[in-house]
Amino acid sequence: MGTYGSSQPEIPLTDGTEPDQIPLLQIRELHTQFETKQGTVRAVDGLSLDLYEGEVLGLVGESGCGKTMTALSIMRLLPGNGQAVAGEINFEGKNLLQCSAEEMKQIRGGRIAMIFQEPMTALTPTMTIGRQISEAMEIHLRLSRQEARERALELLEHVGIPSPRERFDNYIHQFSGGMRQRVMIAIAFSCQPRLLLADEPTTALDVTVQAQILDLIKELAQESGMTALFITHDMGIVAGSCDRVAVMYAGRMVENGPVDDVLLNPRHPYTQGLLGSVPSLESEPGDRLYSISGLPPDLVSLPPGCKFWPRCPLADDRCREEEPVLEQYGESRAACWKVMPLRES
Amino acid sequence: MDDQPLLSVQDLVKHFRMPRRNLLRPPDVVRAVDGVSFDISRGKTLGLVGESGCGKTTTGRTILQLMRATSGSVQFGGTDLCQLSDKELRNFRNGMQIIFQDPYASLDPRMTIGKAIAEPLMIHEISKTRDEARERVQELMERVGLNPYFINRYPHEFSGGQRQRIGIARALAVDPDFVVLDEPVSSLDVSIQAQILNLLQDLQDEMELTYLFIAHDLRVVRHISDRIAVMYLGLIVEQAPGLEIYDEPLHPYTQALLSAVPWTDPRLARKHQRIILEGEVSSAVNPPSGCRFHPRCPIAEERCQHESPALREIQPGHWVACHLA
Repeated sequence: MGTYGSSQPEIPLTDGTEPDQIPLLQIRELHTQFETKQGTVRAVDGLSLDLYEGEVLGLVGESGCGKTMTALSIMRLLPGNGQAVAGEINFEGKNLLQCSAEEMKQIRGGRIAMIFQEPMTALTPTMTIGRQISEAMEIHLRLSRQEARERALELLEHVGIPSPRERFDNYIHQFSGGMRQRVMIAIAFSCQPRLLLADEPTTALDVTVQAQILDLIKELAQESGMTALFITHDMGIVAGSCDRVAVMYAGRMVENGPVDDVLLNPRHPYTQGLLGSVPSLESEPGDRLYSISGLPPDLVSLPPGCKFWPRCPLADDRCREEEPVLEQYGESRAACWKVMPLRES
Repeated sequence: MDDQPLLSVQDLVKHFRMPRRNLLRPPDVVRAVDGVSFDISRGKTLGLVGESGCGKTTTGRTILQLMRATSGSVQFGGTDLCQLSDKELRNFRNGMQIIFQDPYASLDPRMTIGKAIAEPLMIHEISKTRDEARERVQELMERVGLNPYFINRYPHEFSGGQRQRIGIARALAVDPDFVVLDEPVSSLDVSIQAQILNLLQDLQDEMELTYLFIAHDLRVVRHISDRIAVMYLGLIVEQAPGLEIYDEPLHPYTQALLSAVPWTDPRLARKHQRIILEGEVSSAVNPPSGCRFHPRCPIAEERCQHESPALREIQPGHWVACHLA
């Protein structure tokens, strides 16, 4: 982004392995819960996750696995009575869970920015997009109104909005889906965040627009050496856009590692199932797809033992009783009692 | 193409009039479908792909006569549905069914799923008595993988995938020959998507169903289709046997679409050179002159701006509408 990223040190692209450095974001044993009439919903249930400087980490899983709630816990924007009841989220030496509301206001949109799936609901319909971009910079970067306007125009141009000067005073409903997402990206990048949380940023978009948006985020992130957490349910997006991947199931991590290792040699039966469910270029049309039977578990009453056993084709007595922990296999980690020895490719 | 197709669509056109904005000017017309032709043989699947707004959903609904075509014909088992009166159409309705994208919106929240599935049976007088209908409903539920025990439950008690199974059972209740599937799996999680795709394939084999599969996910379409037609701004720009279009896309739009598919193999994702299209889809109110794709086409020439390309058969069964293919 030229002038925007000039203060950042040059950061080499990661090859997907965990570097020997202190993570930029460190989540330790996070528990996020909701109280409902049916009981306590354990949306995030003991998740630990490290995010290193300059990398793009894909957080994948089915709806309800806790990936969005993880991001909202980081931002401290949990809806309803949701609460991070235990654990730590360390970012730049601070535990975000202990920050005051005032401190969080500084961090949100400043050091940590978030892109949501539906720009229409995340942006204000009654404020011009130009104002919405400048506002963040006036607050976080303490720019004057004129400076902020100039910079907002540059940003709009940079994210590919044609004729930004004319579009500056438009409202969000006057933009197409792809353009709305570009506006949201401009806002997210406006204050040069260190960490970007992107929650299904392209799910609502067409394939060609999806490709444009993913390339744009990647390009901007590389220019400014930013770290990103990509939340998605699509392994295809992980394959094309991420360095590392973490697979979530029932609020916990079941596998993580470099993208190539996890996608080409998935260890956990759930990861294998997720990958097998998507038709590939190698599969023969008409073949049966590998599918995970059943439904995700009820987060109010989780089964004992491994949370995946009711849907797992390999489960035995031990899986039903004892919960597996993450263990190292090659470059990746998986939490499964049944992990097969590595297939040599 | 094969001998006698079950469904033959010729020059199908559907235009919508927009509300008049200026009294002195004629109202704007949205040319949603602007001359689409294809055949589908019995027991086969045609995948219809394209981006939102290209007219694929309108095509599906116009074929079923849920909206009447502006012009063109839809031959279904030898009868032109477009020529029939609403009353005459009733006799054909049970031969053709539709499964919608959103299993949340397409079921009546106040009707038990047993009643919802039985409704078409009673309307088409396939089941004479309530008991008979009930028996058939239980049979159908079992067939689509739902426990018949849940017959008296309401839609909100089911997950998205289960609701889609209810939608399938309801569509199949009248024993149709032809089913339009309008983005049937796009609102579902991947693991559930795979379950539903497998089910649709099994049912097609068992019941000799003919599918028009409308979708934007080219991974899913490749998996399920025998032939694939690509739409852009109301027109088919390329049509070919399933795998051929993936191995050898000839239209620049198809090439761009395919280059944007997020395959799950990371080696492929890196190797693939994405063709990024400039700009956005033009408006269907005033489609561009000549080839409708020319403003975004990376290889467009002078003549593409003036002459609209016709569909040509370049290889047996492989049709393309591009001057430069």
